[in-house]
Amino acid sequence: MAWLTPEQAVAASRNGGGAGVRIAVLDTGADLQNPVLAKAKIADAYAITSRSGVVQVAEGAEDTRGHGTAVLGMLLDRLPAAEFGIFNILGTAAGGGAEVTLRAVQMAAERGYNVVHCSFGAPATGRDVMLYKGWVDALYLRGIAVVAAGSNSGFCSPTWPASFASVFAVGADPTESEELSVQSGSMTQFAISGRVENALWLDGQRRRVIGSSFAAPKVTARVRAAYPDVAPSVIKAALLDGLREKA
Amino acid sequence: MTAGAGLGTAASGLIRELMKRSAARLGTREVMVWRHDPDEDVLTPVLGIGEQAEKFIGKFRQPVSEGIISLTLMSGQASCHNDLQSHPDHSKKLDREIGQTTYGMIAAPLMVQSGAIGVISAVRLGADEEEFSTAHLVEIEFLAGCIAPLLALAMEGK
Repeated sequence: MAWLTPEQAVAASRNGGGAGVRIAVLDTGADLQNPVLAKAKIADAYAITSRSGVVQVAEGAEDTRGHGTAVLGMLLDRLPAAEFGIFNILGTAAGGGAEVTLRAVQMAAERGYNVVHCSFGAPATGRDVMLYKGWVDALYLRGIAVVAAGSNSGFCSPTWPASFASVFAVGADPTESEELSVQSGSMTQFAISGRVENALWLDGQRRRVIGSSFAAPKVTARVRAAYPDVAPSVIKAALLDGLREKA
Repeated sequence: MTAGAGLGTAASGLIRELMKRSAARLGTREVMVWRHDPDEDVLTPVLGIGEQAEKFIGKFRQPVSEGIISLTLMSGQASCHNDLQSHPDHSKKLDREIGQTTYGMIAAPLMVQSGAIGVISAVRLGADEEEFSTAHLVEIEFLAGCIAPLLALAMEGK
């Protein structure tokens, strides 16, 4: 079994690259006409919606909100060699709706993505818990990393998928430190600055934004990129150990 | 100054008090609770503190398909935008209605066991006011966590 030390994990989290990493970005789509994003290797682009309980998949993932464009821009900036799949799931319901999210995750797994990035938080309802647990566990067993934005404060309601233990849940560090740290006692275990001064947005514009949505891309796949053969669960444990020792 | 729209309950009184106490820590006088109407897919302001609140509570409807507040509902994540006037997703409709310019906005989703029921937002109406930061984001998440179950009670008339 491939392994890595806490020191290696922390060191890798500061670097990037992204060769061999395939990231499924579940968000509001992306403005692929943006010249910056035109450089991205895009393998798939889908819009997934639900109408009257029927999940529908269409090609194309136009972003009318800007959020997904910002997230993809951040990922591309840090992992220029990675390959991306764009799954617009936030078109019809808060948090995408459990069935819509499930379809996107199934498609991502079928298409060989090794990271699923979720800069969203769905309400942690009892009704949806088994749907979320089902796919989070399935990805864990397949060695597919899930990175999700979580609560910044720890006071707010839990959200899916950030509140599952196998997920790399990332919050915005209140001190706005660019050094990754551990939030003890919180299911949102990782924290890093969620401030971005020049995030890509729609119409080629750039925005100043703050939020855990923009902290999570700073963590996604960095360790995965350096150690593609190591299971995400091992990476997470080593990273937590390394960061705690550092603290 | 406080205002409300059809939520004259014990829970809504407590919500207003919580909003007042948090407003100072958020560095603003304008805090608003928006309720999501899933049938019409709009957000409507139902409770607010601040001089501008009365101008549009019960009179304004924000389609979930546009605007930063609705993006907060959809993404389920608190977020902060300090340069709203150049923000393509900022709904200028509200600014026109209240006759004010919104320079910054911070918002967090209101989530309960049954799902996302609304959004709480705070705005910066002066260009020279302090910009929102991550510390403000933490504060509004805390406020949202307190208010969400109370709003659910208020919506039930309790």
